[in-house]
Amino acid sequence: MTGPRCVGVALFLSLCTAPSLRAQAVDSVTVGASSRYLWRGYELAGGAVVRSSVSFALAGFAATHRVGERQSVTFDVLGWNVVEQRATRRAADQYQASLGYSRCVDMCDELTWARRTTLTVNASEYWQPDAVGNRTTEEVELSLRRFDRIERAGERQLGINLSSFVTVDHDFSRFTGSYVRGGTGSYLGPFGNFGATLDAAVSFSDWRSRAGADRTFGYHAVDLAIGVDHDRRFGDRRHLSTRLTLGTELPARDIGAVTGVVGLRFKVSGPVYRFR
Amino acid sequence: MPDSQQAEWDEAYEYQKDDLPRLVVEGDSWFAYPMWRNMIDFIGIADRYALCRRGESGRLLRQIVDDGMYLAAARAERPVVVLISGSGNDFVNKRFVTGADGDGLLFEEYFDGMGPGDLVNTRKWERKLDELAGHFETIVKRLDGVPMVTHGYDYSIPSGKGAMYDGLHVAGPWIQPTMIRQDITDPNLQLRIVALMIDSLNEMMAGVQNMHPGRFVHADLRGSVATKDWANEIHPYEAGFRELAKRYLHVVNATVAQAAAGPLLATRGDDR
Repeated sequence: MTGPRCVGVALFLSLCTAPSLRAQAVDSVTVGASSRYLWRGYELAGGAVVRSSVSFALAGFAATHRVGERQSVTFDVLGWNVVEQRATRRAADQYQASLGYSRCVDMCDELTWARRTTLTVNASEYWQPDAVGNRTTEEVELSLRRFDRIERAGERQLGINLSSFVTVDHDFSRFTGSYVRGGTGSYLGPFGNFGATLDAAVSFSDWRSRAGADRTFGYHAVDLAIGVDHDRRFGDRRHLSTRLTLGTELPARDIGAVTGVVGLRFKVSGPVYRFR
Repeated sequence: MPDSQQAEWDEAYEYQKDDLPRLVVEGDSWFAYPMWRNMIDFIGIADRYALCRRGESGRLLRQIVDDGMYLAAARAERPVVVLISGSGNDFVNKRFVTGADGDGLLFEEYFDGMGPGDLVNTRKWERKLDELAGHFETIVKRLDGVPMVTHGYDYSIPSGKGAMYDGLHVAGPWIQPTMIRQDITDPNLQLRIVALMIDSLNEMMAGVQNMHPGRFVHADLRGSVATKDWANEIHPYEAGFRELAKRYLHVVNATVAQAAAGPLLATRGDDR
């Protein structure tokens, strides 16, 4: 049995044995475009990419803080599709299906997702239907996300929010190696319907170079992004979130070149159906 | 996972509203401060109510009344009680305090022997209290029998510190700089002036409560926040919000219990 299948079985068993998980289908649908198709430091194709995803919250705490509901199971489907010169670049199209299990490990009485510390394990399958050679790969990802607030330093008020994460990925076919990324971000706002974000992350890997040569584990890339968010409610309970980001990627020399990217994405979130 | 504060509030409410008594909540930063946990965040942790939350930092009571978000939510969600935090920004804003509204500074110029009562621009302040009382009356009338709970803040400390988000000044300070501009430099006198204003605000709210027993409930939070727990002129740190929330929750619980026992039908004059 391969690694991701083991994880899949573990996830299924966790779901079956978890004490009284309340199920709901709070989901989100996201569509966005970026000026460059950057994926984990690699530029997979010249020009712009459309990224779309659908996220299903199958069970668990979602945004609630209620005792005993500190776990969640999510299923995500994502796609990356090149939009320029598709005839020659469509081999870079890829799709991902991901099943994830999350467990809150700290600040679990908080009202919001963002303020908890959450441990997540994801099992993913990737498809590249037009790729030459290996068209699928499996990946397992372990991630830890936490939220910190720094009220003050001595007598000085600071009011700094930090949302930090570490992820460890292992790819079983395409890169047959590990990728570790850690970073932190801060959110400023809301100011009316607007907010601002600042994010920075650094990654390390033993993934092959852009030319296909094996690498030892080491520096992979740094990525930086600033963003402006706009959120508005529509209907009684759904939200449309728009985010404009300006970022740059600074990969290791054998991974790629320094690249700037502009992104715009729209996300609709809110409950579609809730069941018990 | 939602991206915004309001989306997170909505998602949490959607999940809880069928199982817990519903409260509609609208307010200023004391109910919505985003940098650390505010009063309503602590009320939520008590896990007794489904909170339909609206509002944001910097909101004026006038805006709460004019925009009517609390009212739309109350009509849609049929809460047992409505919680409102408002009026603080109506008198702690740059235009009002510094006289940029064309109505003079909030504080009079200091001369030897003057006390707190001499140093507040009485005409301006009393007109503001009347305006705020009118806004609360409007809310009570519009809620049509659904009880509302508000509060009269706490004795803040003129500190010259404005509100900061991510280390950046985003609002204020205006109280202490304006006092100093008027030669009110004694910290003790500055404290007594703020205490006088907060006391008269609470007295105004108690007056509205007397006019609408059971429908307008004033939570007296004065004395809750320790000196060390004030972050700036208008916001406590998280520890301060926690203490405020304890006292506020006590009043909310009592109001919910009374509402569940049956609405008081007394209106102006009925109980006298």
